[in-house]
Amino acid sequence: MLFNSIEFVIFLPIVFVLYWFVINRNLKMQNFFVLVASYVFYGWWDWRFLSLIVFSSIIDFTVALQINGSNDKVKRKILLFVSIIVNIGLLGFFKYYNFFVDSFVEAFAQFGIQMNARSLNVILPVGISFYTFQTLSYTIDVYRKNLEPTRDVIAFFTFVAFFPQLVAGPIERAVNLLPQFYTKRTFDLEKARDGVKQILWGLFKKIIIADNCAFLVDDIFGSYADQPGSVLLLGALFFAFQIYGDFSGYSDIAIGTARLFGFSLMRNFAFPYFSRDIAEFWRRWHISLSTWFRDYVYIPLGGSRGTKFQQIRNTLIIFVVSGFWHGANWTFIVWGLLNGLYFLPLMLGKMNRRNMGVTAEGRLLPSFRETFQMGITFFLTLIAWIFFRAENVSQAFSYIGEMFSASIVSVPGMDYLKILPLVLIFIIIEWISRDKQHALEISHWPLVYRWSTYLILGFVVLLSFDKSPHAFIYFQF
Amino acid sequence: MKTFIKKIFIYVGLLSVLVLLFVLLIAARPELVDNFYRRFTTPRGKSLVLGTSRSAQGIKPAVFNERLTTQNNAMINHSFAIGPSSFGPNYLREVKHKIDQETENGLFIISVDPWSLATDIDNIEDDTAKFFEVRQKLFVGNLSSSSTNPNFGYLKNYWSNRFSLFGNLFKHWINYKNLIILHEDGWLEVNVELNMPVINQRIKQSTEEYAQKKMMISNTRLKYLSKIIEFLQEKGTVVLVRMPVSVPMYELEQNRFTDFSERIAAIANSHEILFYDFIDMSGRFQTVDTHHLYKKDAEVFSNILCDSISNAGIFGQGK
Repeated sequence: MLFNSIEFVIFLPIVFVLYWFVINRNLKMQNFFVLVASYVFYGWWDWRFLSLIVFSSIIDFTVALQINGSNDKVKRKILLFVSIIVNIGLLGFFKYYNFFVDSFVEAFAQFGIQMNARSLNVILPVGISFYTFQTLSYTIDVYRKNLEPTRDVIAFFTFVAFFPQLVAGPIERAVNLLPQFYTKRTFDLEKARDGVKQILWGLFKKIIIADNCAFLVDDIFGSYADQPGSVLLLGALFFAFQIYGDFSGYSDIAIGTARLFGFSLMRNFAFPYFSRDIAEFWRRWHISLSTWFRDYVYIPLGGSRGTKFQQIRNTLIIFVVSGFWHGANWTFIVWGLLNGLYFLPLMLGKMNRRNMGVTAEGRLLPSFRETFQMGITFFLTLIAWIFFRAENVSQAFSYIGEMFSASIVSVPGMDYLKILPLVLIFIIIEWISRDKQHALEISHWPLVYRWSTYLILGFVVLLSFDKSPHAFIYFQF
Repeated sequence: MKTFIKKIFIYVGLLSVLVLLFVLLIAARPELVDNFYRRFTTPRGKSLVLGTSRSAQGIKPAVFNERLTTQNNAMINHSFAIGPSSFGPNYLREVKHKIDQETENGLFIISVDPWSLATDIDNIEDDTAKFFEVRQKLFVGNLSSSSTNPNFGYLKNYWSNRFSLFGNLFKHWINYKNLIILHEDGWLEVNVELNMPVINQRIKQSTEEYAQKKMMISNTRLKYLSKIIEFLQEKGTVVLVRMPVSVPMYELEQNRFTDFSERIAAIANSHEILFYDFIDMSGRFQTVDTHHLYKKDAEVFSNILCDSISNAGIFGQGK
């Protein structure tokens, strides 16, 4: 089920009413109801793949209890590996099998060896990258003794399948989300009200910003060889806003929906395009994934300790793996590697934690220096996004080559400029709200302005509501 | 919780009021929606102009309603564009939706041109499923009703840029010089400046684009043209017309579809209806691009066509 679909518009109020008014007395029943609702939400796409979520949940629930019950280091390690192998195995098979087969065949063909390996018609289960990482983090935390394993099977299964964030994150940590299933939730008016606002803002980002950009991005990337450099630059720019609107929009809806049910999910985006360097960008973009890799890959590898070589190796590994997590394509690997290369000078120069606070905090406009820094950072991410969006690496290089041709100074056609004002308005709104959790934290505004804003946003979202909605980009990851 | 529910209801209520106002605006000013929508909001027609954008812009029902038809068989233009209203199963369905079933003495002007009777050369089997408008499930012939105001079927499924309404409202308000007005009788008035270098460039470019098209005359489409004629013959008088175009488009069509007029004449003969072939008058009328007559010449052409039908004595007695 998509957040921007009519099914969800019906599903959400029904679940909300039943949750708060019918089965609000018994916590276990309420959790069980959330679990059923989550399975319905997921099964709406393809009920067969529910079995994978159930399987993954059973494995990690059992393994974590076994790990906790044993003091034998070897046994604990073996159990941890069972969980890792099962989860990564599922991910590897469904997401990467064809990629590895095809890559091996191609690699051997380079040496004149023809292999007869067969690609499989494997369907990628929606959200598999997200929920496998979520369950893995639980088992690893139990292994590290950072977390007591739960014996509440319903709570655990609901933690794994919690519908607001099941298919595209934020990738929650058990230490944050799981305890919320143990305590009785009481309705918090402020939290619910803020949740609705965040849902509205998320829908605006997805339906108005991302989907409108997508239309032009598909056109430009689909005909990039015939487009002048200026249009290609716009294509990259629009893709930057498409993916931001799409993914951060999803996260906003997920966080807002969870708040309606009394849950708090972690923040996933913090106005990343106002970052002053790449390190700051990665602290603000897909935070739940970045911190996951930091805690479960980067730090175990040694992090920023050790020799320069080790630091470089660790940094590149985490960025490449992060790129590969996004999809079974070399484009994502190059995208990750490129970001790693952007990051390295900052890390080696110990400048990666230079910009920690809100950009231009307390001021209306950024300084010249901040503007320059933001511009450079945005430009670097823009180049990297071209790899992310392209069909293959050679297309990305051709795109960039064409983009930086003499025609970059030509005037693009009006059709390509039409949504530029929309993007500019969006940037201004985001800039004004950059010290908030989301752009609709406007409780301090006078009532009339506030409600006018909500109504205008609701109206434009409603007007753009499509009976066959565009799927979220991150569903494919 | 009560406060929350109350506020949600207030919000949904206010939003519903906004939507209602929006719908009322559409109902009052259907011409603001796009270049097609209004035709699906007017009552069923007793006399129709059918064809593509050539006739949508080039044949003014007002001329016929003033000179030839009466209130009992008033004419409306139900032509659309090459994409949605090429002759085929969709357009046949659409004609059946739009015609007033009570009609007995209507006048039906069917504008033909090679492009609206052609298909891709790849469509060797000449299969309707491969026709563009069928493949794309375009709106013509696919609405449950073609005469309701507001037409929610169209608004919900086929109106892609709903915000254009505000832009069009603004254009009408400031009386924008390049305004496109879809009149209630279905005539599409396109206001453009007669800037000849610009128009010549447009003609050249558009003709070149058409020259690139790999298309052939479709026997299936010709059969559907015949079906439409047969259906309409039961309701009144049918005439076929081939409208004048720009000189480059005339040359392209004459070279590419050498026997097109003969084939249409043969169809007309077989149904014992008249075929008015004005293609040789191409160049005598001002066009705004390679296909479409300038609005003033649309009036002139409509009068010429009206004279021809009137003089033939095949329809009514005039006014």
